[in-house]
Amino acid sequence: MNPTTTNPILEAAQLSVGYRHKGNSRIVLGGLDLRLSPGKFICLLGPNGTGKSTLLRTLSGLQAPLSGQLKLGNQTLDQIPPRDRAKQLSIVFTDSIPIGRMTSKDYVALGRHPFSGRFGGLDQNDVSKIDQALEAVGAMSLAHRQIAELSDGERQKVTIARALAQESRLMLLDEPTAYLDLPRRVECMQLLRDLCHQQSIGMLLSSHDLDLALRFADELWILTPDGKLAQGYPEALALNGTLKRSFANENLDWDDEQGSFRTHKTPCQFITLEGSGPERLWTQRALQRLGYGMTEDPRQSRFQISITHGANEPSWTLAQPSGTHTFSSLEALISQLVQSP
Amino acid sequence: MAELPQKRQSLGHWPLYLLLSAATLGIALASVCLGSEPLSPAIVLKTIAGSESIDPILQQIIVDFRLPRVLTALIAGAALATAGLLMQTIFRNPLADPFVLGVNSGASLGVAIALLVLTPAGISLTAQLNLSGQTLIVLASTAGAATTLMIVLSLFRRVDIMSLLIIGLMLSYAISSLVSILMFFSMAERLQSFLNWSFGDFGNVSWAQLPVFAPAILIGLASTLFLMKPLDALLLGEHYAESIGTRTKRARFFGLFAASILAGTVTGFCGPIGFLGIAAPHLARYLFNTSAHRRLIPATILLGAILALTADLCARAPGFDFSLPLNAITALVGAPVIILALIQQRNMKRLFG
Repeated sequence: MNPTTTNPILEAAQLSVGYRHKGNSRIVLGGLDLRLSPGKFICLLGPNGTGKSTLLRTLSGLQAPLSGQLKLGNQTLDQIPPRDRAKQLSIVFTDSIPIGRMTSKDYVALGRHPFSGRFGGLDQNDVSKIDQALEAVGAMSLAHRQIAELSDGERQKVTIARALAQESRLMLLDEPTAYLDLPRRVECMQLLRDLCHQQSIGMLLSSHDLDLALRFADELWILTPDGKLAQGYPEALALNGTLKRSFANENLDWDDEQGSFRTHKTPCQFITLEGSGPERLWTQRALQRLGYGMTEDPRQSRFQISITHGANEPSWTLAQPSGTHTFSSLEALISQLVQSP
Repeated sequence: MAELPQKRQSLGHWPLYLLLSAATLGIALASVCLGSEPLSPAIVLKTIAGSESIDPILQQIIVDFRLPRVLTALIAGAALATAGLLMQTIFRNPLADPFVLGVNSGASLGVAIALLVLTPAGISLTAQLNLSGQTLIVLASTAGAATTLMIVLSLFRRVDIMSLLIIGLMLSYAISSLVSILMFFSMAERLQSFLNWSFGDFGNVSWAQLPVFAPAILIGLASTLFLMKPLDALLLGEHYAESIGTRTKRARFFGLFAASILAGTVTGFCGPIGFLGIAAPHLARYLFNTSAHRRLIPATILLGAILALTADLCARAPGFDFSLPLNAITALVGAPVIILALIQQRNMKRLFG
């Protein structure tokens, strides 16, 4: 299955990636057929240790493939001179970026290296490209700040700006959102997706954030623990069970209803829950977190909770063998459940 | 501190460069004037301008002794400082100095063999080749430095950059042990001549040797022009450097080569001179508040020259009846400066990511 139809920038056929050491090779991933096309935002997902970083390093030419074909444009990747390659392909990796004494602008200017002369002098075009890159990630105000003084989120923006300044048609990103808090992660994903679509850059980024990937990616690549790569539209992969197979384990269950994973505890007590709306959802989440299972059958359940929507405020009624209580907030209900196991 | 970079941004770095250039010339002139026989700047300038009216003895002091010494200090300081900058960037290590590949130890082994083994054994290379003793030392130390460099660089392709740093360090220790053994079996007077070499001295380079010494260094310095861009890229670390089109292996190899040629030449002619090579780059980063090599290299050259001239001036202790070993002074003058700079800048640990 391959939804990509436009001419690919990067194309891999029967690619094996891994490590070679003293004649022995350890294949991390094999038999990969991949295509990266302009304007496509692809998220690479997979549990730790399945080879996301190895694959990205190989696709960016920093590590030689063990076997198979890897073509950038019409040329084999490892035969392209570094400078020409840098004009077509940029990276944002997890390597710590410097540096004692460098402003954001100086740092972004390094992205012009493939274009500047022997001594690194920048012309008017380079300077405007640097400004455009900073502008595009919304980091113009950071231009004269020292890199070392930036927050993680700001530094990530500037790193992306440096990659943008390379004017490459392809950008490979290894966990660009790893060190960011949730709002910054959403912002970063949105920024990347918009840049990808507006500037028609092909982007492949690895992530642990399944939820965000499902919301933003044009296409998902999922590495399964058995060393396979599943490709497809996010919704299709969710529906056909690929996500479930790849990520579910003894602690995590895929929730088909919610479209997300939930932590899994073997419930020791069951509850029947009546009600609707967001109140029902969050009550259910709270009960699951506390280790209760849901059941429809009143005979199995130790107690019942029903949510009623009054004139404007919802209320929770808890029916236990010891008696019935009514609570005006979810907080009060949870407190009660926590106190009386 | 927060406002300073902004201000410098608008003014550019030119005022600072001009200031440092003026300081270099000023200290150089002071160096020629001060000494066992103090001279007025007017006499010195007239002599340099070629005036005939100067006392021939003073003329000789200036032209034959002080001028070559000052020129040597200037050139050697610039070379060591630049070599230190290259090494610090290539190894991404603020403690790297020009001699991390063991060039210095190699040179000292060469000199130890010449002074402690060959000469006492009655093998005199100088008599047959009609060379002075000083030239013999230059040849011996250059040969030692070059041999060590070739050994280390031959391993360059096979190991990563951090291993290379450790190999250089280990090789230095091993060679120093050999030198210690040679010293252990040597007579006191021979030992003294070896010790004198190891203290370092800018006064050993004569007018006859300058035409070899100066061009070797200038070629080394000029070659760093072509390294400015890859060195900037190397600040990012290997992966990013390659991703912006840098041939990292090649850049590192030529960088190490240039740095070692610079350091080896200085050691060959002046003996092993420590500290300048570590100190000057840090001062340059501190004063210019940048890591960009197109600005750092000229700054480092100027600061290296200033430090070397100052150290030499202090070591000669004008006005006193004695002179001190140069190597003792470089650290004595430089260490407080570096400590001060570090206390002010605080973010040393982030210097190389």
